[in-house]
Amino acid sequence: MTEWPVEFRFGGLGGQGVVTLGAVLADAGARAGLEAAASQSYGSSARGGATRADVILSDDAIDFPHVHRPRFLAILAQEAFESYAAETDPEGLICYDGFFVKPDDRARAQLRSVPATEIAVREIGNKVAANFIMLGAMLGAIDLIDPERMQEAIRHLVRERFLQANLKAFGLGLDLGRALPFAKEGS
Amino acid sequence: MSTKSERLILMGNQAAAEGALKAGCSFYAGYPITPSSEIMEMLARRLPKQGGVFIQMEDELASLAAVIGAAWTGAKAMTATSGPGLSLMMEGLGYAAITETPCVIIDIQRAGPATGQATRVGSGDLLQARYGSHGDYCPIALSPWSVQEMYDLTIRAFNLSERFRVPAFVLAEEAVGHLRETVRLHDEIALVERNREVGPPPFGHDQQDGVPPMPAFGDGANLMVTGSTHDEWGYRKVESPEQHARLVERINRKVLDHEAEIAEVDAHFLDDAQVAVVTYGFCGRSALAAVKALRAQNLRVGMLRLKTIWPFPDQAVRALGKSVRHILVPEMNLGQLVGQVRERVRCEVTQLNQVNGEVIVPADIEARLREIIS
Repeated sequence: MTEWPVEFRFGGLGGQGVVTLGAVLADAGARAGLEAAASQSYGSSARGGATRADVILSDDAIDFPHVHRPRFLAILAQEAFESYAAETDPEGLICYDGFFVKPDDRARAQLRSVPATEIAVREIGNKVAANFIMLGAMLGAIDLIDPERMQEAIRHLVRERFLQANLKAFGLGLDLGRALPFAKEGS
Repeated sequence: MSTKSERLILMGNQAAAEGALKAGCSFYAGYPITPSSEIMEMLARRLPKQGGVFIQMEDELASLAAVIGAAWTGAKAMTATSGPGLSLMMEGLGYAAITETPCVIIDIQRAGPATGQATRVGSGDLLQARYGSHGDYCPIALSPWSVQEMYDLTIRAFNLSERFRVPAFVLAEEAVGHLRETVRLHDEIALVERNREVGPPPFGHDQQDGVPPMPAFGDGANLMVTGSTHDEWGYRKVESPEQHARLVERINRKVLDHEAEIAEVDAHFLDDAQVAVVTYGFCGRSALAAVKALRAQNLRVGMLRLKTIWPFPDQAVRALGKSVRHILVPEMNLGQLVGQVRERVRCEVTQLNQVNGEVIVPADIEARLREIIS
């Protein structure tokens, strides 16, 4: 049984597609019949500034729609790790891209290194697809949302031009995550 | 109000645009500004496809002027902006008020003054919407706390502006405009259409409810529309004390006398509350979480959320002041609405203010309520 609500956070730099991940996860949650709230924090400049996207999924109405203590954190940049790792639920999971992030002991949650950028470059030919590999890996590891709902959400929100690459990236991530399942300690 | 609805995830700004389309908006003029631009982007795509008009103007002065002109052709017209743009619209706001032009202004508030912080949140435009243009006038302003209400209250803003022939605001904050949430787009919504009767004076009735009929140009009435003081037929009367007093008093009274019809509040846990939060907009979300946390510890706290800011919900706040011993007013400004509360109640009123461009979180409201209770 899942204990709702569940809080997610995606952290990276502007241009890495972090806000899109939040929108996709929230959309998939709604498709799965859950209540969803997604918010983001970003700077004015389109690229480069620290960016985060937060999602709450719940089986009941969401009173306060901002994330306070993420259970699941996906990280695409070192700055984001430094900002959010300590806030993450110690019983949660942090997925990070080892190409950009060197984790340290401020993270008390379980850690998974996901070679998202490396695989994006090798398999998709574009490092920007790392975001969907990371999303797939996290969702594969925690097994909380039906991947079909995720794929529907991606089809709904991603522009035609990038759709196939992102669906492929999500699928590659999902396989990675399933091979590294997350289990709450003691369960 | 609805029988069928579609459940989906939308950003608040998108929900507002959906609401505008559902309400029958057929004209949008605006100038893009963070954090409101998604409203404009969506209407730029959607309005022309359904026979409406979208125009990007050279600035916000021209935007509201175009909206006012469109309304006089019979269109339901709107614009969207944020604080810096709203400042530029003050001239048009007064013009819309004195010409009794129905129009909707969606203001997605960001941290001000001036350009401030474009992507950060604030609630700094409440008094500007009410008093920013010179002279006496009373616009309607609604305050959504969710994506659902961005949809519902945008529709309501159109309905009220048609009903009362006044500019109606949706005063949302960045945190609601950019929030994505589950929302239901209702299929069947009651829509209000303005009375376009040709014959009676279009600026004039002192009888009935103070809202004269508004024929459009082309409907057959001899129309004169002026921002100068005018009589019931639109003739300029720029030196008559009686005509000026009559006009200004009526355009205020037609809103203020209908507070019971316009002002909506949302009460939570107030039945036995000794301490209450009076809140509006996104802060209501924080307040509800805080109140629930304290209720779980059997503390008698409640909240009154103002879904309507202007006209101020006078009756509801007065009644609250008689039933609780202390009121807390959290605001993402330095205290724009707390004075309205204070002048209506005799119980103690405490304010909680934050202007750092971030939302007030539940823990802050909870801590302040604990101080008040102990």
